Amino acid sequence: MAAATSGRNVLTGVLPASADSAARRAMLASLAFAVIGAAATVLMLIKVSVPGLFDTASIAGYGRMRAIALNSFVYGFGGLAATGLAYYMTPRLTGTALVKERLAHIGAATHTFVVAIGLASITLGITDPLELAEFPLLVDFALFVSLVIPASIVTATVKARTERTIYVSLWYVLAGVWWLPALYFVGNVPGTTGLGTQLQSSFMVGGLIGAWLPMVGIGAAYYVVPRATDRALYSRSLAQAGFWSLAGTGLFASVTRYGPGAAPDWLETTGAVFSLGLIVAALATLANLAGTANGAYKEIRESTPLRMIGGGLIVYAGIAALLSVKGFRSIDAVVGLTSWYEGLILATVLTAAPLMLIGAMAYALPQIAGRRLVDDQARRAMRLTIWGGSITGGLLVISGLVTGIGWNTGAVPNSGIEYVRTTGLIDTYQLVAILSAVIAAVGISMLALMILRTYTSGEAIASEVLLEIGQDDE
Amino acid sequence: MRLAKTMSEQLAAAAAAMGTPEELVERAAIARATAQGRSYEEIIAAWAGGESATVAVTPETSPAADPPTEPESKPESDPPSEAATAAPAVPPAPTPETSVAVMEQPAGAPLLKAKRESFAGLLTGILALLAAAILLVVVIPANSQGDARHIVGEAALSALEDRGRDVYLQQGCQYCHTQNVRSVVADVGLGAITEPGARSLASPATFGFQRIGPDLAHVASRLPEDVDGAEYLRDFLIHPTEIVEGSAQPPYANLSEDDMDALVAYVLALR
Repeated sequence: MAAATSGRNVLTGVLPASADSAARRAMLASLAFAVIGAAATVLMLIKVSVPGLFDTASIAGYGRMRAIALNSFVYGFGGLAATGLAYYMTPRLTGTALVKERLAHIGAATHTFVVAIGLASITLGITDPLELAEFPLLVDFALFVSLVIPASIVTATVKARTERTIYVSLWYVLAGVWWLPALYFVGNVPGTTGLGTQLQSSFMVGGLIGAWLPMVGIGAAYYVVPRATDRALYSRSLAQAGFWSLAGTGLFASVTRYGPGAAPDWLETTGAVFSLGLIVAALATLANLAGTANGAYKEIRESTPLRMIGGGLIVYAGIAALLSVKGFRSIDAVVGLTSWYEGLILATVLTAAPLMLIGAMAYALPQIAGRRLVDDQARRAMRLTIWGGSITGGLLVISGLVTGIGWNTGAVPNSGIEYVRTTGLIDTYQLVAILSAVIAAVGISMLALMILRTYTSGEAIASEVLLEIGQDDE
Repeated sequence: MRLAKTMSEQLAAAAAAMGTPEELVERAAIARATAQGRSYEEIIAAWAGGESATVAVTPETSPAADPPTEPESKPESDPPSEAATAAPAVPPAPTPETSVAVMEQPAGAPLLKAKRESFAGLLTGILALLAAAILLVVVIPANSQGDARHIVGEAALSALEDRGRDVYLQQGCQYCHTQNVRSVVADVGLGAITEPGARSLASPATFGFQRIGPDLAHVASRLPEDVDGAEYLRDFLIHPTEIVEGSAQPPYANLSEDDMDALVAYVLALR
């Protein structure tokens, strides 16, 4: 949709009320953070293998690079992409225009600005010490407010719906828009101490990586796959099983982030039991969408969004399986506190999430911008992302396993001057992980460019203009 | 029975005309009928007759928005055929069965009534699970350890050591080092197991989550007795690979003297 050119109201140009304008802006803004996150991930991995690189610059420290990478991926890319897709899907699933489109713009703009400020503050060393909670307190407050806005808008829109059925993808959208601000709040609430600090951190990190990102990715998949294949959903019952498995276990399984520690034994058991639900959710989703797309081989071959979402789901299923086994004490005793979990985080942010979310954008943005998808490089970009991200994550998972086995068998020491043998054990894996991270970063950048090129120079096609049933045109 | 068969045929015809599965056409027709105050039969009959059910397209982007081309003019001697003339789509003339259907149904009542799904129930379920998770995995265990909020068995940090902890966190040491000794075989030799009231769990927390470097919870107690811990640590932090070849420790030569003193003091307090 073109920006308002009447000039009669500056507000109209900056904060248009036209349908899908907020969705478009949020999606486009998210891409910048995906590229920043990918670049920071490469620098982060380089610093592990070459710690003396840029050693005079505190900004280039491993910790800061990691904080920039993950915060950019999760809150910048994931948060804005999820918001944009929610704003796109909700009106179409409810038969009702998005409530308060201008407020949606304000929320998306604030979100973008605040995350940028947060990343800048990390760069300058103004940071809190908890993982994925590094933004300073003022930024936390502003980001929380901007995360509540999509939740309230989507909820109000669903409440005002004309469509009787609440479609499967809408369940995931609703869960996604409410979980993110809740997780962020719990992870950042100040004043906790003792075991509570560790638990709030594990809840947030485990919840964001193991439950929230999958929730928004799967929701997008459930929207795109039936439409792109022109087939009805295979099974609503299977969809219910998958959704409630993820919703009912994902957050409880978050405790496995830190594994055994000062937490009571019953909490570890809780994490182990609930983490099995992650596999159920992944398998139910895969089966349902595979059943939906069954026979649509031509559409899958020709559709970039379908291929991307399918690839992302397959990688996610593998991640879910590995996350779920970490809950078991015997497994965690080996891989806990190693790079094992780090590998799963990187596989999620470098592969599964970008493929599912950018794949959904590749379906949505052409529809609302009236441009044909410019996917001449899509296959290559997808391969780079899948292979690069999966290998990066996989190598760190293997490194963690090797390290953990070494510690448990005494093959390498867990402390002292000889600890250098521990890092020496996994040097090769770390070096190859740098290369594969570069490949993944190139792939993600190409995917982002694909969306941008579509928006700016894609061939004009019939755009999809949402008209609320019974509503007059503006 | 005749009514159901006729509606089924019309639904099939509408679905075929739109190239859309019948189930979706049915749902769309019910929603449209409710919103516009028309009957379901009217909607389906109109769609089966070729009336467009799709949304409008924007004139500037759609080639389809071009005005339809005029049909080629025929020679004057030939009267224009009906087929060549652009005729507006009209709903089919009602068949006797349709008329009977209208008379037999109350006005405005759709043939099929879809149950409105509960949004409140779905949202309540989502939020309830969220609240339950927060309670079960954060609030309850955090408060189940008795004196977990207080540092137990460790002396308080001096002002210099406290500042050193700030430097430790500012430099991101907690991203590579843990202060979290677990009751597992892999942590044997690292010192006392971390209790709920440990300083590393206090705010600001230094427990860490990944060991690229070794655990530091009791690092000072592992230093050789004949070594000047402060001097050794300072040298190591400035020139790590000269002290330990191949070490993954990044050099901190950029730290000010005061920050280095504070950091060293803090690390030596970790016993």
